[in-house]
Amino acid sequence: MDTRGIFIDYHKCVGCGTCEMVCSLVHENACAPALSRIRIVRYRREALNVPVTCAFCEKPPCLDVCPVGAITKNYETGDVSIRAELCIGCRQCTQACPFGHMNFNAAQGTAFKCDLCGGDPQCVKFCWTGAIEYLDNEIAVDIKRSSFADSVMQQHDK
Amino acid sequence: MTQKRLYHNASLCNGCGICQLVCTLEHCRQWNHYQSRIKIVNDTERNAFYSVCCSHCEEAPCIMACLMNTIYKEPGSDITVRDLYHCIGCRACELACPFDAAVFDVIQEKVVNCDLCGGRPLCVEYCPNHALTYDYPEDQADKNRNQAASQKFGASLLEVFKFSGKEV
Amino acid sequence: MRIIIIGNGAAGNQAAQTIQNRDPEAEITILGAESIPFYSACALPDYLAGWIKRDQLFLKSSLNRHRVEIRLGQAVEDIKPDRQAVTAGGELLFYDRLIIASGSRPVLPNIPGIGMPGNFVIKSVHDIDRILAHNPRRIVVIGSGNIGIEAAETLEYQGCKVSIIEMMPRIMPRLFDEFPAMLIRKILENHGIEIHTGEKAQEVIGNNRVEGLITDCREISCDAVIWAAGVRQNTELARAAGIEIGSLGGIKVDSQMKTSHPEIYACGDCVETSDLLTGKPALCLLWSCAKAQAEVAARNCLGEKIAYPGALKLVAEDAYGKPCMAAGLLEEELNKKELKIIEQETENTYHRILIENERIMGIQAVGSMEAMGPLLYLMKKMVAPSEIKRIINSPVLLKNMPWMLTIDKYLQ
Repeated sequence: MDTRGIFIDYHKCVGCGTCEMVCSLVHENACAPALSRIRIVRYRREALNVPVTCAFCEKPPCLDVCPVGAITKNYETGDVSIRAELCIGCRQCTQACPFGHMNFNAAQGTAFKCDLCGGDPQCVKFCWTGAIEYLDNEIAVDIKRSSFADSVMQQHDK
Repeated sequence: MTQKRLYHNASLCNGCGICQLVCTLEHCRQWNHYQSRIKIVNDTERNAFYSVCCSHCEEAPCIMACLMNTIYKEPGSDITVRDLYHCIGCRACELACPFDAAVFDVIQEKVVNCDLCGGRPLCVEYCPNHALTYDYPEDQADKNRNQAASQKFGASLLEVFKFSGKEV
Repeated sequence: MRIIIIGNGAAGNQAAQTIQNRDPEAEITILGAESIPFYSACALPDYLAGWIKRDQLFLKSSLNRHRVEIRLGQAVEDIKPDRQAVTAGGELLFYDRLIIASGSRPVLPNIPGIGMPGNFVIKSVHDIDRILAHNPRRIVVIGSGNIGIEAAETLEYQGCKVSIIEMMPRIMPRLFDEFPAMLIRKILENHGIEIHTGEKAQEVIGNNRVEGLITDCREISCDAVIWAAGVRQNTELARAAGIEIGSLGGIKVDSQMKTSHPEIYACGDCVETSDLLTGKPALCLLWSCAKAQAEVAARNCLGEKIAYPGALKLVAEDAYGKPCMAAGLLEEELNKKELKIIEQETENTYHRILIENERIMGIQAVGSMEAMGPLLYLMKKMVAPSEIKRIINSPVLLKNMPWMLTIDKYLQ
């Protein structure tokens, strides 16, 4: 079982949009953020940038709502994938996704989602701030845990 | 530019059914919510109301199911329309619809679906709670994403920032 | 690319349409044996009843006539797979890809009197024209499948006295289980259609014209007999060309609708595909299956790799204003031990859901089709009933799929 996933450190993200450009270039041969799998939501007043991508849920709502079974989950690898040839373009998954990740390609008439570039996510490779990382679940949680512990330590030092 | 679509916000809907009444008044000239192209479903357990309406699928199953080739995509937009002259009322499309959105019109004995009132949906106009909106899918997707980001990430993140004492 | 399509029916036209949408440069030739344009065979009973006019039968086609040549009244005589050509009307036509959509024809039993005027089948517009010209008043319909029931109903509407003869112990034996079949039988009998089950037609009697029918139980006087006791695949052309024929009598195709010859594809009534639910070989002679198969065949012709998931038996029928539908398998086709049947009956409606091994295997409904569409998709998706319960009870999802609520009441 592949336990790796995309982990995003919102502190580090500067909202440059490189990930969106790279993603659309790799998948659609065009630099168009609207066609990117990963999308950044920018809070300009708070200067906070939140890249949103697929969480690869264990019980994906998109899978549940898809009437034709175009979205499948591979329980071996944890991958949730969409088969464009089966998609009827009803846009139910775009509404059902709790993260608003499911995107829709209006020109092709099919929904599309993150496929982790087949195990080598390009957004991770090109993220120059290191905000997006492709890590093992254990390691990612470990980093998170220690960073929280650090902040507690800082409070303590004060 | 893509076609605008109907969106229903369940948290604003109080189930008054005005959308159904104006729909039938417009399309069948009678007050009869059984004939409505938009259906409001009452979830008694959670005391909520949801809507069922044609989602104008890109490769619509009803088009494939139609025995008379009467259903087609309107050229220029991507809404699903019907040529009722050839419809024989066999209800195959009703069965093929995964969303139960095709409605059998008992007066004409033909199956109909939402036609978005030719670009100016009356249900949206008359919705007293603004639960129904007529919006571009892209804008709706952006709204969804922003909402998700602020709900799932934003709020909790701001708390974390507060806790860790970092300047936001 | 030159593509020849044999057959001007639902499958042939759908294949041509799909090819043209995806590759506007392809040269398509449709060879139709009938000399009339593309029409809907499913609307024939409505035409027989006079509910629709003759011109409403013919379907509008959005094929671009510059690229598509439709030759009507030209039956293909021969397929030559080694030369990649077919002969039609004495002319040799070459192809890069061939799609066989030759359809099916009704079976007539070999009994005395079958050749007399007054024996009809329901397959093409000409058959209906002949019945209308004959103007029968007392009719016997042999076979109670979809076609038989519809024909009986429409003829009864025209004021004829109609009897149905069925060999099996219940009507619609391959579509409905015993109880729903009985409900439909009651509806039909209440409207004056006589139904005799468990009987077999033995002889058609009369002098130069049908005057009666003898079964193993009785003699019925009538002036027309309509044979609707099944159809047979048109596979002679394919068989002569050395294309493999399956065990059930249809042209054998793989999941990409390819026959045993790599350049030849087949779709529609003439093929034998696998069943969606069981995976076993199955014949599915339905309009929707034909169209879905044609699309798969056409896209594979153009070099895509699309698989056909399998055919699902699905019929919708209108019995005197009461919608009836059946999908999937029957009770007798399933394993008795693991079978769970959910039945729901009200005054006017009846629903039956067959569940085997936590999978919905069959749905039958009489009187109302509410929520049957969504349920059908859950069956196709092979979602377990317990999983459906979970989906229904998740408030996040329900916002997006309210039609689930209507299913809930059937799965109690």
